[in-house]
Amino acid sequence: MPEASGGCDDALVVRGLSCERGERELFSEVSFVVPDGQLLLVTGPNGSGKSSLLRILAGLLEPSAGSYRPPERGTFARSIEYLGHANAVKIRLSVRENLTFWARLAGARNTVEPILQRVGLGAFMDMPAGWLSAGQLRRLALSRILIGDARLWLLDEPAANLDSAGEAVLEAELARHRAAGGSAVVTAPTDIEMADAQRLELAVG
Amino acid sequence: MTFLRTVVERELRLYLRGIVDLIGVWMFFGIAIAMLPLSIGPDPEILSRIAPGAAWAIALLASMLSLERVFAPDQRDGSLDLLMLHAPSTPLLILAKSLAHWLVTGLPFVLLAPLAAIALGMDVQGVWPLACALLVGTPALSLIGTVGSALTAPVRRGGILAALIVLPQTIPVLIFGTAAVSETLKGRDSGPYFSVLGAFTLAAVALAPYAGSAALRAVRN
Repeated sequence: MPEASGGCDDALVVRGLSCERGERELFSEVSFVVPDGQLLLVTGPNGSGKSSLLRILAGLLEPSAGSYRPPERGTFARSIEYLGHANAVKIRLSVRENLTFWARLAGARNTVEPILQRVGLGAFMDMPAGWLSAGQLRRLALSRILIGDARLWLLDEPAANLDSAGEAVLEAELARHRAAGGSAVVTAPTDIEMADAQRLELAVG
Repeated sequence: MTFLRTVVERELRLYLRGIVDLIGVWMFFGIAIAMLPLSIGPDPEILSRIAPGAAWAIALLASMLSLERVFAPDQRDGSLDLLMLHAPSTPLLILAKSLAHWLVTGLPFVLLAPLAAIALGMDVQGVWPLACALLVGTPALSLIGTVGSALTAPVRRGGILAALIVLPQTIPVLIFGTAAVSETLKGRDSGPYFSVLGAFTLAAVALAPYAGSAALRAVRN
């Protein structure tokens, strides 16, 4: 496990983080540092606490012990964007309306259409989101991360339901994000090919 | 302010896209009021005496009908996580949700007040007091209801549970709302009742956002 040393340029510093759900300890004393431009890949079997770790980092769940320091937003528009299991898509709104809402909440500087083009939904902008396939819904959820322009991305199994073209989009966007100085924590059920990523493996406790 | 407006606009858009549910709520209000004279009998004496209380009780129940729509869908599809992450403060999110809920369930009852007043034998002189009392009191119902909805956000079919939790808290609104209308109809000074009703709504504006915020944090961990 990487040692938590923590310089100023680190996007995320985590020290001794533990998580309990009910009586069960999911993980304990997890420490790591994610520097700017870096990607941390969190792997581990089902139920090892990958999603809980991400929810804690996003501020949606209280850790039972330990501390973490989320990044300042720096040159980015926001500090953190979070993609969970659920896509947070409203099926009654159109694809464009879905993304426009989150863009306005995030105070995004980017416009919606180019982002939808980038994730391959350019032809579906005015379609109700309820008509999209599971993979397309995941792409729409991903577009929300892109438009947020955050320094740290927390992505919980972002490739779920994506086809190979979708995975290529995801990889390209992660590379682009890192090149711009952003960093990311990504969970995956199994170890996947990811260029020069740090790795953290959680075990079932 | 941008957050409040953006969320309220989105809520209204979502409510309108599912307008069938809303029409159900409005029709419940209308039909319940139309049924009352049929079951009680057309005696204007009895009818006009119970009319203010009946109108308020029906408005209260109708407003509880749509509580399941406030937080549960956002909880299910993951939007609630992100709304909370994007909100400048969670109480502001509760306020936005309450405001949208009132616009689609409270305000329509105010607009339907003339119909209700006449159907319940209050005559034209009952229209104005009933509309005013509903206007002053129903925001409290939406605010308190939103807290109940927050408490039951992760519960499947939590609408009934939310209504059960909320109904006792709304009794003061019911009592003073009814008194405000009936005292006006009797030609007595109803100012104090309207004042208490207004005070109750203001207290709800001040407290419900924080209660709802605490409720959301408590049930979602």
